[in-house]
Amino acid sequence: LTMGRHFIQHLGGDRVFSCSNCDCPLTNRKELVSTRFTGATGRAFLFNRVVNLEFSGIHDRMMLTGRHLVRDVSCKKCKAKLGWIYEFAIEEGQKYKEGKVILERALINESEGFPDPVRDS
Amino acid sequence: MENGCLNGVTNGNSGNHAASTAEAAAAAAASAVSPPLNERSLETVRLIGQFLRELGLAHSVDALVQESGCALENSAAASFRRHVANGDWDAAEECMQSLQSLVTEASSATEIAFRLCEQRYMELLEAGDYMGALNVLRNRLTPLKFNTGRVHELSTYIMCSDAEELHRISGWPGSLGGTREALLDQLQQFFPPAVMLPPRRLLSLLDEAVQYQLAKCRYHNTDLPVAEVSLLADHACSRDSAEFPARCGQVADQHQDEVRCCQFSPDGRHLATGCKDGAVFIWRVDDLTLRLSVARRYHIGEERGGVACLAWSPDSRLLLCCAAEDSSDVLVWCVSPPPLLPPASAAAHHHSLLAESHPNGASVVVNSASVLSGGSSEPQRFSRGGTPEESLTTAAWFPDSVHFVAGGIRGQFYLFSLEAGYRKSWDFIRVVALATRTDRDGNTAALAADSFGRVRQYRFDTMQDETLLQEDGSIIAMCLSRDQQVAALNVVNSGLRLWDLQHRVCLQRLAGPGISQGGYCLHACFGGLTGNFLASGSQDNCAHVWRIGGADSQPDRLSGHSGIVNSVAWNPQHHGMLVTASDDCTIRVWLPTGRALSAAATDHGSGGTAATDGSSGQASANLASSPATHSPSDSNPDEDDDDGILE
Repeated sequence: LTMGRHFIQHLGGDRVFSCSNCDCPLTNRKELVSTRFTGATGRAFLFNRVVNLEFSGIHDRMMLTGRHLVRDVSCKKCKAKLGWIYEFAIEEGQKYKEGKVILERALINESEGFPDPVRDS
Repeated sequence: MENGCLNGVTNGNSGNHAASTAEAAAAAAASAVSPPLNERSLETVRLIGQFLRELGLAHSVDALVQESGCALENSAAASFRRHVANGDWDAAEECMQSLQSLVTEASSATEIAFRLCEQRYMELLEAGDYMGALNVLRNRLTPLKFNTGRVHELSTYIMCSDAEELHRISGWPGSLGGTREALLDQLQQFFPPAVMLPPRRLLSLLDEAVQYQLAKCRYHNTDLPVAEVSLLADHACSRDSAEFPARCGQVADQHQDEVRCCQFSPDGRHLATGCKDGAVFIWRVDDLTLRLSVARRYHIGEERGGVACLAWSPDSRLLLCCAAEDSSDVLVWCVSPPPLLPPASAAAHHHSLLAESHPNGASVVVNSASVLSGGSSEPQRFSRGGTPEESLTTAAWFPDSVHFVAGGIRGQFYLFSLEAGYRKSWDFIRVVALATRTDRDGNTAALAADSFGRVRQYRFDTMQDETLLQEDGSIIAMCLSRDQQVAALNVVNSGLRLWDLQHRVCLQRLAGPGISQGGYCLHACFGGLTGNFLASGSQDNCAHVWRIGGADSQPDRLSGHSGIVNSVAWNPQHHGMLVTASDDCTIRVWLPTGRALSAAATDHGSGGTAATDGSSGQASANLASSPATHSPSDSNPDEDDDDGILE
């Protein structure tokens, strides 16, 4: 039961990624860190900053790269599953992922955005 | 003051008159008062003495001087004052010789002499003594070599044939018009206050104190003149006696789903509410009871995600509506018919606007005739005629009630006019909230809060833009004060921020735990007689009301709703009327306590329920004073009257 109208943020950018189910904006190419991840549906991308997400409780998961504490993330608007966020990495070499978000390629759309005419003029 | 002593003075030391405060202090030390008066008390005695003297209570003044041993004024200054008041100009000038050294700036002595001669000259002219006047002009005014332009002007007044013509041509009210007193008040500014007090000093201090209390008064919402506020106790309106909307006077539950927006028309006679299910209701405000009754029901369709934005045109005739889901058009209803235009001029008007419209791309040309006629419940749709990926979720009118801007976060930012539809676009701006602002020169700009946390100003006539402010978080909502000087921004995780739009500084931060933490779209509204209140919806099911610029920034909380309060609206004409719209599918009308209780008393239960708010039930003693004027036809206050045309 949704109550109230949720505020939808938009990070802008030249290439925008949004939820493939409801087209809610999530992030952009500038925030992309790596494309070499794998999720349940296949290829997945690691992003710095993603907006308009809802978070699950913490899960302790064993991944290809080791043990991590993660939260599943879903679209704030339509609740579709999108990926997960790294809260804590057990191994030192994986710490760089903390706070970053994995979005599964099959669950997001990429579309054309535009540059900010004020800052990039 | 060398007046005679009153009998009854114990010590005969009042003959010691001081020429400066140091000597006054010495005099005080030797005065009748024990312990001797300190600096503050001496000053207060002087103020009281001036007050009594200005009232004409001369004996009291003498008694005060005697008993306190405090000279009210430098003795030379006192003589000077007396001479000017009596018109003894030569004596006054003599006094000036001894006062010369006390003047704040050395150059002022000339100006003082000039003004004395000026008054003398005008009075001589008024009395018909032309020879005397000429004498003053030649032998006193001109040698001063001061303000020769004014001397020239004065010399022309000689041509006036009589006093009446003199008054009219020069604008000088005459010696009977208090000009001598006015002259003294002006001359006072050249002397330090220790020598000559500013006029009415005590009264101006008291006025300042009253104004300070009024400014601090938390619930003050009336235009009580400063002069009528009692000095006997600090002024502070109580929550229940003020004109502050403290109590719920009406709960209207006609909506079937979450009520997302509410807006009063600028003339305060209608309220528009928008719902999640796409319903838009127009309510009429009863002039006497301030009760709401449904007058119109519109629907924008259920697939649009509900109503996101409602905007009344400045002339209160038209209502604009934007939907929440990405919809590429906005809807405009004509709620009240316009004044009739003769058909010829209407056609010509339509023609001239079409000629300069749609420079590029397609545009939907609106049938102007249907917009001008009124009463139809079919809205006019405005869009660029573009793709369904366009999203217009916010809009704002220009002051001419013909043009408006609309935009959304997909990057559409358009200017529309009623007659010609889409006019212009400003590209690549992701718009979150819109408003319009007119500067002193009469130029109107659109203010857009964008997805980068900026509020920028856009002139669609000159196509110039500039950034006004940058927030450090995402902006959720924006509203402007009535005088368009202040913007209230709802910023994610930061509560409400007040910005001065002229000086581009942040004035105040109003924290509210329920305001922006959950990321809901909550709207705020300025209101009150002087626009010094800010009300906002909140997640904690209350409306929060702040007194802006007040000493403490704790809000007043109006509780009673059982769901998130999404939006608030403050009646721009009835300053004690506030409406809240909530997820509990109701809207509540908040009124000053007296009116709310009497409004609840006339409720007949047909949909309207008595105020059941959780706020403290201070039974107001003002019930007797609340207006009991309810029209007898008001027996079913919540019944809809869907008559055709609204007045």
